Amino acid sequence: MSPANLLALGGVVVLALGLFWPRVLHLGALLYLAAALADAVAKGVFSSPAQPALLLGGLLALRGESFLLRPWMAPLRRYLLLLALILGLFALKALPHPGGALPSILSLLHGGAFVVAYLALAVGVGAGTMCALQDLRLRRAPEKALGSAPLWSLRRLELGYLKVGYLAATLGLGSGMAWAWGYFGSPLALDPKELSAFVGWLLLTLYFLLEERLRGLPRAGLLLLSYALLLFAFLGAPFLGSRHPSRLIF
Amino acid sequence: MALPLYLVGLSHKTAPVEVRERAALDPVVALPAALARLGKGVVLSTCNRTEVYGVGDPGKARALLLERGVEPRHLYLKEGVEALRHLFRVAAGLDSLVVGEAQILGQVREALLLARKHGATESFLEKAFQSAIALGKRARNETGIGAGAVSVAYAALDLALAVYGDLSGLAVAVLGAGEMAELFLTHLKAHGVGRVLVVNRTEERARGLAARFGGEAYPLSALAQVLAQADLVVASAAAPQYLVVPEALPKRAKPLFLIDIALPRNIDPRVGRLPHAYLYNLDDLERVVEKNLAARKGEVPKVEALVEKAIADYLEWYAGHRVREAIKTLEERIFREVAQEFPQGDPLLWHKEAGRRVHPWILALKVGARRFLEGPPCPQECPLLAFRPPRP
Repeated sequence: MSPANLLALGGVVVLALGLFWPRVLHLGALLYLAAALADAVAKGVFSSPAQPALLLGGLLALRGESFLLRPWMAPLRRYLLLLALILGLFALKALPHPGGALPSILSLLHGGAFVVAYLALAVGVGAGTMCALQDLRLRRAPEKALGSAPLWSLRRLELGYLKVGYLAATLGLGSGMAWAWGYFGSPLALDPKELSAFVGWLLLTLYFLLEERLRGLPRAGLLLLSYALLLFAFLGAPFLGSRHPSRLIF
Repeated sequence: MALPLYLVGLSHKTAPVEVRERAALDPVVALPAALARLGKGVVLSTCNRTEVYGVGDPGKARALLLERGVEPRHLYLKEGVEALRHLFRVAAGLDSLVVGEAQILGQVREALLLARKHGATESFLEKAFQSAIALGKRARNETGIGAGAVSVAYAALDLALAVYGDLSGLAVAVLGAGEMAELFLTHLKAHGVGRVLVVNRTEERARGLAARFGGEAYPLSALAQVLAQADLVVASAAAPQYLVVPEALPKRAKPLFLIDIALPRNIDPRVGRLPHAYLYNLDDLERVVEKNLAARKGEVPKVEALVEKAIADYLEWYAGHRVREAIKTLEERIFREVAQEFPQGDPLLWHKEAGRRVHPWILALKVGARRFLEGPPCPQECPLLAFRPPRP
């Protein structure tokens, strides 16, 4: 087992503990980041999907940890932590695979943009879903809304993060399409990774366009669907034999 | 050797309001006079109860209340552990008209402070009231007995907090300048709302209310201008038609929180369908209050358990206190006997001899107590404390 594998495994175990004992979240996040660094040193920066997964997982765990002093945000913290755990498990699966050589500028621009996008969207979608549900409670059963996170705090969190996430996703998608055009001759193909990322981005655009009209469950549903598709592009598509260099060959 | 506490009093459960009014003792004149007459005692006098706690004979306390025009059928008398349990239940808010209300704890503390000020407390009463206050705090901290709003004004405040989280710096518009508007404003101001905008048909009344809360007064004709600036709206004006209609509200990104407590309503219900508006009327607020009251009632068994634990702690203290008293009396009696037996002896040696004689008795007391505690439990009433176990 490589050092990166060991560190990532330690990170997953510590973050799993963090679900019940949040004080160890720092340590779990650091182990994730160290694992990403060890893999980058061994194989090259962003040479495999494990590195962005570990980097993202570590940053999500740190963001979740920052909600510790706000008990109302406990559901958001747990969701971010679970997402970090899924990313860690994915990284454990992806780490043993050899890395592919990519132009470093493209790796940094495309990979970096998507890491920022996933990080911001993870927080924004979590806050947005909670906000939509709180809106529903405040309108249908106000007595049930009293113990939950305040609507306006969630809304501000959602708006700030979703805007950054959307811009970064647009940049990541654009750079990816430009690279695919030059490399394969077409910006988009019937490829699970490209299609899911593109449709996810389209749904997110639709969400921003319909923001004023959508409320409650449809609002939360659209937001979750767009994020699920983007997440699938990152965590699921590599297993389906994509033409993307991040595919995992078995 | 029964617990010497007693309680004589009346409450909202036994007496109508006109009787409670007669029995109430004002803290400036009547209450100090009552304490002086009782000698030792603590008087808890609130709008819902007048209770006299004391040690020994309850006759004086009973006479005090009867003289104020209270009929015997309105009075209750509790002694020993029952009196202690009653005090603890009162302090924990279990005996209040609104279960878990917080005001009573402050009133119990005030009653103790007043009795102390007039030198009317003694060790059993002091300990009982201190334990009651500690229990009241514990019940509110460790259970949900005091959680949630149980008045319409607080329910509105809780809902505003569920929307905004923090009210500081927000602008509140008040339509109407009546008592309800003032009550809501008091709560909102306590939570740090920034600007207060008062709109009323009679501008002079609007100015009066605005001046009390450091706000601005507007005539009804400026309502649209006020609504454009407000984050919270409290509507309580007497008006035959809707004052706020959806068409009058500008588009906004920030939520708009509206409370309509007027009858007939001031705000068109269609306003509630706007994407950023959260509109509540009296029925909504009462639903919140009912839910909170039900939740508080669900917490009662937990508080009852705390009450029984506090009684046990008090009795443990009381038993120790009585045993220490008995040992001290025994030591003094034996010392006197030794002094009489050896009048010519060295007084320093009297202590040594008295110790030699009394120590076996103390050890025997310990052995006896252990045997008593290891034996069968008290069947009906504990002979030491006249303690009747609570009914299951």
